[in-house]
Amino acid sequence: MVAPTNPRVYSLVGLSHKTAPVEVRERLAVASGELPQLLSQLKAQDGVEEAMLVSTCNRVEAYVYGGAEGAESVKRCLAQRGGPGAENSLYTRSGGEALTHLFRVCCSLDSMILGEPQILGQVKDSFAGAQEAASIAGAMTQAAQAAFATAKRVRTETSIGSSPVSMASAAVELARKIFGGLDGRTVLLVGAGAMSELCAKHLSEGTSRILVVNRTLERAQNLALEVGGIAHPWEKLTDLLAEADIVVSSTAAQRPVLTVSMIHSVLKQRHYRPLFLVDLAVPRDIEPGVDKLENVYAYDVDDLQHVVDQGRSAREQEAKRAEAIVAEEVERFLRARQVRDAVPVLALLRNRAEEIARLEVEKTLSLFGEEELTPKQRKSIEAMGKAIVNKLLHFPTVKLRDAGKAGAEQAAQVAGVVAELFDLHESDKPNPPAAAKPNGAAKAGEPERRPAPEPAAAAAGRNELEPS
Amino acid sequence: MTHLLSFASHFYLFAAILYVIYLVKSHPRIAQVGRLSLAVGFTLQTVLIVRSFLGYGYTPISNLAEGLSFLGWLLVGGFLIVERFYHLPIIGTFITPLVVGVLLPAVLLRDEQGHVANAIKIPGMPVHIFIAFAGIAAFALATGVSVAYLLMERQVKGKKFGVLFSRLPSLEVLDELSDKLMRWGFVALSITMISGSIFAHRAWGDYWRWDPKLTLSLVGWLVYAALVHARLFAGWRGRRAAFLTMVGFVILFGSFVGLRLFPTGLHGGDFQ
Repeated sequence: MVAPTNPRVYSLVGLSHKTAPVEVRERLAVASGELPQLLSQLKAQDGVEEAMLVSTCNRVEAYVYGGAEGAESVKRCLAQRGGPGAENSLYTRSGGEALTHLFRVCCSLDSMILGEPQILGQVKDSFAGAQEAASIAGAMTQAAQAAFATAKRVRTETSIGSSPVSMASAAVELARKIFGGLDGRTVLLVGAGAMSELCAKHLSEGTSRILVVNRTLERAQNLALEVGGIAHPWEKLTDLLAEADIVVSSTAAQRPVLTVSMIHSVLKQRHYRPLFLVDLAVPRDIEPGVDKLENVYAYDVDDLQHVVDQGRSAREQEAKRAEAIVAEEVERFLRARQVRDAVPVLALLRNRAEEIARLEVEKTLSLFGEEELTPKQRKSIEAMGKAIVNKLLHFPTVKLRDAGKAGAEQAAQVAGVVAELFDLHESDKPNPPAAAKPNGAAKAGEPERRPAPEPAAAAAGRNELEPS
Repeated sequence: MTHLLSFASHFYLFAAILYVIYLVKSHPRIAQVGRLSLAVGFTLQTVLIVRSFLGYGYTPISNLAEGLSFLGWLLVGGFLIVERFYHLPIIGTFITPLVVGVLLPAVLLRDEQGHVANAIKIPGMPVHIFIAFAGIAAFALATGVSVAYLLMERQVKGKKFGVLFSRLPSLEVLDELSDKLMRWGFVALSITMISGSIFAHRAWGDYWRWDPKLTLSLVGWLVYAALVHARLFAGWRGRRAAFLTMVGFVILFGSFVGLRLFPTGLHGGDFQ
């Protein structure tokens, strides 16, 4: 028959930039529109009680909670969706490993760019999506929230998120170290490339002024419109240099457009105010030697990349401390679950028994007319119902508590047996009296269905009883 | 001087250690405790100075040890004020070691009882001395900030980033703060020079004498006058300004310490 215990576990099936090339990732990626449908598809799989789906450009991962066989069925489902090549890229983790993975992802320890801050928001979105689609309940909610809390702890206790992760953010970081606030600064864009636009968006803040200059005025005007700046003809470049605090250059010119003599000529006019030059062009727009000038700081793509690399090694150092925090938090979460695991079964059992007693007492009392029983007699019948429940549950209560104290495995085992025997589900927990009835109805169907899927997915039978 | 001074300087030393730790391990609590420790030391030293003033009737700046400890007191007070308005505890990493450096000889030399010079009993003289000290303290603070600026600037320019890069405030903030402190120092120094020449006229009959201490002070004043001018009208800032701030301070500090150690002139260790 059914295995004596069928402890439910967290599982993860997915692929990421570490295992799959972008062609595979994009085939599997889930658009937000189809998320609810896919979530309900996942939830319908054998052994899946709760499902959450994280889909970003670097990873597609399904986190599920339920029977141990859930991972297999989810894997089949994802492999089918991802088409050829996907199956080999999929990895599966279960139990503590699945949780560790979730925590690491949230802390950006599994990201392509270590410590990049977006991933936490993306997982939070996935969590919200799953909540909306009602594909998760208590267990996954607890895990996700613990992961978010861990991510927050990592952010505050390590400096993994404080060094720049991209050239644009490196440029912003440098600008801040030169000017302090970027509010009210003048940003000059030389050349109207896509990189200029990106950088301008990063660098402009509050009341900052954006000036755009380009060989063809029309493109300058287009970009100026895009970033909320003012376009100027190319001839005014030198005048504009006198006004700017930050210059971002990305022209396609073959020779430097910002020469040493040009910058030198405006220094005095600028009253030697600091000038931060960012050269995003290859070949370079800024003549080497410009950064020898006083209060002029020039960075080309290599320099910025170097800043990013330095940031990366700093983040790698911090990642070690973050890993320790993750291990600690996963451990803490699992320990908390052990205790919870034993206690809910007890609560559910008591709930169920009291519910039955209440219904039976009501039924009995309804057989008598209003006059036939004295209030005292009614009270005695009610008390009898309660007494039977208490006497009957005395030993199971003691045994379950003992098992909970004895350790995780024993607790899970005993709790599993009890849950199995009494057909208890976590979803029974909220106790509107009506909830007991559909459950009872499902129970009636149980004997017919159970024997059929005997060896293959014996335990999966449990899932078909899912009241929803 | 009493043991109260060495008691106070222990608090300064503790604060300096905390501020250096703060550089490496940037936890706000460390700087908070450091500031508290400075404040306690400052209060103790204030008690000492007030007691000396009321009890013996003179500001305790009659010999080198007293002068140095008075300077340390002003530095701590100045830093606490700057910290109050700028919230830059990291500046403490540059200032507190200076405080300890100034206080240490003061504590070691404190038994050498200097006789109270007659000059200090001239009405108004303590004010002249106090303003002179305040000026030096302001220049010392400006120099500390300038050192921070130069270290930071080297990292930004050289594209090599160490611990300081992530801890220090921006170049503009450092430059502005250094400028402000330097201007206060310049005002104090100017007042000192003018009041000094008035005293000189009374004591020696001349407004100016080419005494080594006075000459060095004049050179320091000229350096700062040039710097104030260049900052205002020629747009000087950053590295050059930071260097000049340091140079001016070295000259003035030299005139303060060096000539007290080797009193050769009229206006020196003994205030004769």
